[in-house]
Amino acid sequence: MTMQSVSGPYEATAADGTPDSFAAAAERGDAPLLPSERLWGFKEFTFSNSALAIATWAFLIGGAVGLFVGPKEGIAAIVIGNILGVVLTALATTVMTGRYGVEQFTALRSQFGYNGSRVVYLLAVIVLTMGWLAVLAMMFGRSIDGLTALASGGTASPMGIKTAIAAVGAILLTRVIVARGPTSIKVFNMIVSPTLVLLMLGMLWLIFRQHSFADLMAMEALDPPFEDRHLNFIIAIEINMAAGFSWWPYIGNLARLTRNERTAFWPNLVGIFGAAVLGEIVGLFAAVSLGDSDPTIWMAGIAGIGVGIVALGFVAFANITSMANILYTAIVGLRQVGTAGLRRIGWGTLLFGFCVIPLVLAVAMPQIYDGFFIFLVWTSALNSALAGIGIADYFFLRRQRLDLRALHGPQKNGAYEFIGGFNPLGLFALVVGFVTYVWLFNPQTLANVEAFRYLTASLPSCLAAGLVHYGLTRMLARGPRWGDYPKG
Amino acid sequence: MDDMSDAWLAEIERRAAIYDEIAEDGTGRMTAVDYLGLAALTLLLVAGFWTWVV
Repeated sequence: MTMQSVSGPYEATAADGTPDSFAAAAERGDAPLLPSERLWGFKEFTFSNSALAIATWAFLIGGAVGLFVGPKEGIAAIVIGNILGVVLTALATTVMTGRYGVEQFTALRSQFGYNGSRVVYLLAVIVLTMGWLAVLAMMFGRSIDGLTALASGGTASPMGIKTAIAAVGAILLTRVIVARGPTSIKVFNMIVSPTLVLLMLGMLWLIFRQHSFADLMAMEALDPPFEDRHLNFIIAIEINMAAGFSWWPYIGNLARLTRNERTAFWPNLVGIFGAAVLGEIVGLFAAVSLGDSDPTIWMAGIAGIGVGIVALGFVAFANITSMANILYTAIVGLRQVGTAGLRRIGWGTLLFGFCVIPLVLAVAMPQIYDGFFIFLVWTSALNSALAGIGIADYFFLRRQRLDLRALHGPQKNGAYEFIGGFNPLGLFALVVGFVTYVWLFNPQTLANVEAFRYLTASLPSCLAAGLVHYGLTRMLARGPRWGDYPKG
Repeated sequence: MDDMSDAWLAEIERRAAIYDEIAEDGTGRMTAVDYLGLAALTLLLVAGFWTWVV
């Protein structure tokens, strides 16, 4: 089976019994992909991850970090937060999907039950992906608006009609790309990713032409919320851990396209971690040195009008790459957790249906762009707990073994039925992790307890959810429909 | 979700059997060396950058 034969337009909704149709169904996530059907080696997955990570959200997060701390503490917060978040997230998702080629939310049936995985999908993917699609589309719109203003010598209007039209266009273009399947996404990634890395390095060079490293390290935060510098530093780490954990809904389904377990794991540290760190540091330096955290504004300030137009134009379209990656993984997951009726809906129609709410958000609620980091940190309250449960379940309870027949066969009366398709132990652990997070740190108000200053919120949430899931499962998960956990 | 044809179930069985066969072959698997290296890298980055600023 070649890559091309399984990656054409996605209009067929069910396998018709031919080898090609089974392979196409597997690519959509209905069955485990065989090693021979996987598209990506180390290089391709690294490019894909880089394209996903280095997109303009990295600039946004870097700029947000600059609100809390200066560049020196910001660099440390970016590295510490991202390495912890990315490593825990990748362990929880990519190792199992890389080993078995299984779709991430299908694998999640082993942790939450077949209906529980639907709840998790609804909470973690639909809300997050729709929010990110809208934010990235708005950034595309603002970039186009800024670009045309620069070219014409006019004034940018970030909330104007031109921005909204461009944002709508970005979402619709993304839908067209994803409708053509992962091969087209791969082509986009291979072009956009290396060019973005070069663009980042160019931006860094331009910043260092204006400011020495020592000058940058001596700069202060733009708008620190507390007088306590240590607390601001921990919040900056927390924002970056949230960024690391925010890959949870996506990287598992990208990793299943890789050829083996190692190839599914290590590129995350080069692509997701390395590229995100580079992009965030550029965003941080630019924001602090130019006094504005919005990349659609500082980019022209750094690069000048001519280069700024080119850079803004490229970054605008780079958003499309990120949007395509997250939309693809979200829809692959949606088909697995959806009802039979939903699975009969054509791939293109499903894609369009998923894009409706982001379209509405981009047009009617453009203000969410400016508060995006609050939204990002809220998602970590859930994603950190999911990572903890995933690690506890796959590594410590199942010892890295999944039952592919039980995951993909009939679910009623199967090994992962639990109670009516819900694993109450996993879901309870998820609630414990979420409550732990919000008790330690409220992303909305930044209110926190003393322990947050030493522990952060994501790490205790991850640990608490994992321990509760492990402990309760060891004590209570007995019987044929309770997950088929190995004994002893 | 439970409405599956015999052909589809046979395909799932075929794919699962292939993974059963390659289960014993450790090629491409994460090993103890990978996990130790990962732990060391993470610790180094966290401790190093923490010490740099605190």
